[in-house]
Amino acid sequence: MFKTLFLKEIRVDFLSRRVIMGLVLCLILIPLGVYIGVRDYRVRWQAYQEAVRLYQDDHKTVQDILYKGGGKGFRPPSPFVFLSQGLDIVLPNVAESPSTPQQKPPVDLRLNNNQGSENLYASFHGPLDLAFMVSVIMTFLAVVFTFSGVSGEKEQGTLRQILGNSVPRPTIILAKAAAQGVMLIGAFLAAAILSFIVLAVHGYALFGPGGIFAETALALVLSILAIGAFINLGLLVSALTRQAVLAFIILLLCWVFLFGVFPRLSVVIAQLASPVKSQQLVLQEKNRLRLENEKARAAEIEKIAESDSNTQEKQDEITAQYRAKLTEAFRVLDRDQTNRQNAQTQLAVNISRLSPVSCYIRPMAEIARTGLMQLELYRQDIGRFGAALDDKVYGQYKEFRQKSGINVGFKGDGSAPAPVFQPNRIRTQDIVKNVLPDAVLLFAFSLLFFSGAYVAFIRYDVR
Amino acid sequence: MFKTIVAKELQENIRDFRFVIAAFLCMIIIPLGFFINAKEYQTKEQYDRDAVRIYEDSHKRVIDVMRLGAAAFRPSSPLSLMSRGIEPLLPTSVETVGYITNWGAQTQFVNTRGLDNPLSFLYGRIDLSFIVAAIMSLLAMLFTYNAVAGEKEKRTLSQVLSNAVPRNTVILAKMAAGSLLVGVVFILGILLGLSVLFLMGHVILSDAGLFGRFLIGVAVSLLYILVFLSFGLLISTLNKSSLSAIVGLMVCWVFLFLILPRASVIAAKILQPVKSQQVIDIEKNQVRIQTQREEDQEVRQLQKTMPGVKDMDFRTFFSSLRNGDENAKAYEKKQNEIHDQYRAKLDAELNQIDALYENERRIQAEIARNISRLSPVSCFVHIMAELSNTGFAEYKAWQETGSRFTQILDREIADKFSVLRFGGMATSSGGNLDRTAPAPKIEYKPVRFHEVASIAWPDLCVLFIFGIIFFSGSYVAFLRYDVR
Amino acid sequence: MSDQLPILKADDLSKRYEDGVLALDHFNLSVPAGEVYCLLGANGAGKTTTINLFLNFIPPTTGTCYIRGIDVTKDPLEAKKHVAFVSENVMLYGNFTARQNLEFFAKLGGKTALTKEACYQVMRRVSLQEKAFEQRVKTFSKGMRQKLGISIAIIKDAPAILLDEPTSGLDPKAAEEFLEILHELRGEGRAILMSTHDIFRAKEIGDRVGIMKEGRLVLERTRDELRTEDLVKIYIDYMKSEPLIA
Repeated sequence: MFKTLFLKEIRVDFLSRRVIMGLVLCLILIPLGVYIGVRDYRVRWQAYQEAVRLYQDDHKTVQDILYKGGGKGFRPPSPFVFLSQGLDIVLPNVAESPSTPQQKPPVDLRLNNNQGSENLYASFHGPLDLAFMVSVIMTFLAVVFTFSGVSGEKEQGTLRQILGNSVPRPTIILAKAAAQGVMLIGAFLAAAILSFIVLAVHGYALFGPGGIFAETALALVLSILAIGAFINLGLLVSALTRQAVLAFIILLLCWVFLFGVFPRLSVVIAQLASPVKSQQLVLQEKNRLRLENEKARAAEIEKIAESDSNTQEKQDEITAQYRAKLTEAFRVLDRDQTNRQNAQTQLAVNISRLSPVSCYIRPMAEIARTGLMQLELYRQDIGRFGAALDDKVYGQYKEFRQKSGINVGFKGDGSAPAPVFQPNRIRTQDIVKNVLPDAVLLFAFSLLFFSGAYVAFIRYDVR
Repeated sequence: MFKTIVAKELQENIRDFRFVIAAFLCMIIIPLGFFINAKEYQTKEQYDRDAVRIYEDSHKRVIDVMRLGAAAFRPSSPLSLMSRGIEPLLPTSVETVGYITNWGAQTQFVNTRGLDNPLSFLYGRIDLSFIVAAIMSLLAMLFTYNAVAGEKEKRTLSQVLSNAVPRNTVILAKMAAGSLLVGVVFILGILLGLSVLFLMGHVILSDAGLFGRFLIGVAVSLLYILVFLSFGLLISTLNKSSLSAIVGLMVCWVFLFLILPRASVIAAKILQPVKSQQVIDIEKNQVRIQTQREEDQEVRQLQKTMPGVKDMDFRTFFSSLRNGDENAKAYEKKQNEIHDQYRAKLDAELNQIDALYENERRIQAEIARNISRLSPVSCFVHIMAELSNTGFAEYKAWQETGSRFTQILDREIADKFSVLRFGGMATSSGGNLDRTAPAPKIEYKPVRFHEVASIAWPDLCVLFIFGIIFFSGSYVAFLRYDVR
Repeated sequence: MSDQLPILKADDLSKRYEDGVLALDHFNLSVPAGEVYCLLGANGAGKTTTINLFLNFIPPTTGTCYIRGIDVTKDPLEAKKHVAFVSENVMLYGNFTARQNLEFFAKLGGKTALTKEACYQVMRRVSLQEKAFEQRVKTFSKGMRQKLGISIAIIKDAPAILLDEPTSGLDPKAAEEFLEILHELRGEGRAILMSTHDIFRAKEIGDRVGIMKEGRLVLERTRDELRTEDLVKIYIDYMKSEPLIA
């Protein structure tokens, strides 16, 4: 009986124009989105390599860093941007140390995003990556495939006809869910296969070093769970209404709310509940701390310089103390800012998890290494680069103030190789840990919606 | 007859659940959106003011700027509650890079916004532009998708047309009634939203210019809603069943709202690829270094060959110069001439690089914009962004602000001192430079309305044309509609 | 009347809906094998409610329905194995052909190994045109759909058939053809319960005719009794009389 009903559902879908159109759309748009993402990455990777090459050609030694515009650390674009562009174009893509040679440590590398001018339009309208395709197109198709699953058959009279036979209701609803799942997820997987071909043609390997298997597998699983959640939501609403049109309208409003309104609201609620200073303000506060620290240090050095017990060692000791103080002050400021930001972000993420769409979009950005984990990692890498710059470059400036004047000199080895920024990669296991709660939630949504549809259908009035 | 049908349409729709949904959405989401965005603006504005205050406290004089660098900050737009536009990618400030030297002030745009609230970029914002573009357009379509097809299904259309009622009266009445309903509900939402802003003391209500733009934004929103009302009517007249009408409408909506605008960006990138800003910055830096190197070489050559000074060491030279030695002075004059030449050359080269890049970028943006105009949604969001000072006009204005800032720094500082090099040593002399003078500042000038209008008017025209096309289409289709 | 065990039996059946309407009021009915029982009544008399109760689409407030002795409420799946149903508006799956619809419903009815020819035979039996066998149902007229509906009932080979106003909207020729099929099915020993407005057809085909009013069976006549009585007059008199429930 299940097989009969299941096959009937598949057949009915295949003969339906909207389903065919939806499937074709899926098979065209998803590989196209992947192709575009891959091309986009190629362009950005070339730009990144060019920038790094130009920079490294000119900044081979410590002296080059001092006199040719300071040190820079470039964030590489993510090769998985075809999965989700995420925050790639708004996150900082370069960290720059001040280009004034006598910058005193601790050097505060400024995170900047200079991708703006080449991506203005992209920020207006958003990307056509896999995350968009699934969260918008596939979920919309799920609505289109399922809104008439129960109420449409009721209106048609065929539900009555079926139930006039010895067919258990659970079998019917299970067959519907299974059939729509197979259709949509099957279409999605077919599109994924085409996408893999696109990736292979562009030099992506599934396995081996640089292989994309883990990330794409995770993305596929998450996508299937998201699609499943919307299929079951569609069946639930269909089983709660008596008219297909009403079911469609309700689903549409749900879809708009879950996709468009709720995730945005969650960010805003978190912002209002847990405001965080702007980065600009933090930078200015750091500048002020630096100035105050420098003023106090200079005053104390001046006192020593006027005295008879003036030695380089004493001055170095005072300088080291003040630097330590400043480093600590920066650390506290950064830590507070990070804590507040994390609290705000976590609140937003938790609230947003009430929508299955949010449970999909944010983790996809993490999988694609274009999310908040990437920002955190970049900050850590920049921190290490900054420490190396302090150590090898800016910390090598020594000054000795005397009554007659001030002697400033670079005591380090100017011809030593310049510190190089080494970007790290987020480990796959960390990504899995991060996205697992959302994957579980998506599954729970699916289960919840299906249970609702099941119960609603058992009681459904077919007259 | 017209009035009768309009009245019937109104009565029928007011009792419909869709009207309840529309009223609920407008009365809740619009004021909520205003509240949220206004609060965010007020918070950001406070942070911006604090940042500027801290900066100004430590940058009171020219000497401070020379020591610490200079910056000019772009304030958040108070009209961003209408549209976030491209604000996440607009620079937050323009700042000097390195010391200001006799080569001029080197500035760059800085954008730290991505760190402020990254998730809001991932999920988007609930500004008026989004509410109207997404939610109101859906509501408009919901009100009209079954205006014709639904009446045909219920067989009331044949009932109506079995009377002496001209078809054009029927279609016009349907359009009028739909417009009235959705329009009234939207305006009520706006009024509620304005009340919220009034209670919050938002600056929009106290500035005539800002309020004027806001009203224009509301008017454009109404036009946009009308476009989608007529689109819904068109699809309804092209379908026999309301179900296929609404499914068809939704597919079109997804395409117009979500796919086409994004596809336009990609098409533009493919048709007109543009170098990254990173590469441009580095190329410019290389040109600077190269030019300075060349100048250095020429100066060394001058030092080796100029009679009277070629055999001097730096101590002798500078001492001679202090004593007014003619040869030393001649050398100084010649060196300054060489420097001026190279500086002019550098400026020209840098401007050329900038101009080329800006041109490529502008062409790419134009291509994207023109393709995206195939969707009324793009036209609408563009207009709203320009009105809100979060669009391309703002980007251009800020570019110009950056240029003016650089010019001011050059004029007030860089041009006022010179660096004299001899024998591996250098001295700088700021002949006219008053180090205790107030630090140069630049006032941010918001984009003027006529500039906004000049960028936005094609989009407005296209939006209007869409409305006419959709309504004309529905009119013609209805005149031929088979009511059986 | 036959005294064999009734295939369809309604025992003191009552149904009150959630809005308080009493759709059936202590309704009793039994239809043995080989009998056509016609339920006549105005709109809202309870005819469709009776059929819905037999099909377990709604639960009774009191009383029981039996199909071949099986309590429909207690064991609906088992009961439905013994009944076929033709609704007033046979819509089916518009994009399927007639044969595909027939095959599908036959499988639901337990006939899994049906050949194409067997399907064609059944459709021929109901006088559906040959060229319609592989045509999509959405192109069918109402009469063709009704024929397809009855062929679905036939192919199930169930001992009981429920028909809800099957001739409503059919032209006289189509209605006549439909009744001929019913006549054959009766001859095969099926118990047929048919609700209808059509007094003339009811008199023509019904072995017994029951008149319903306000949820009650107010009158029952056999074929023999109706030879001498004017069913039309009886029906109209009952419809015009005072309401049963104040």
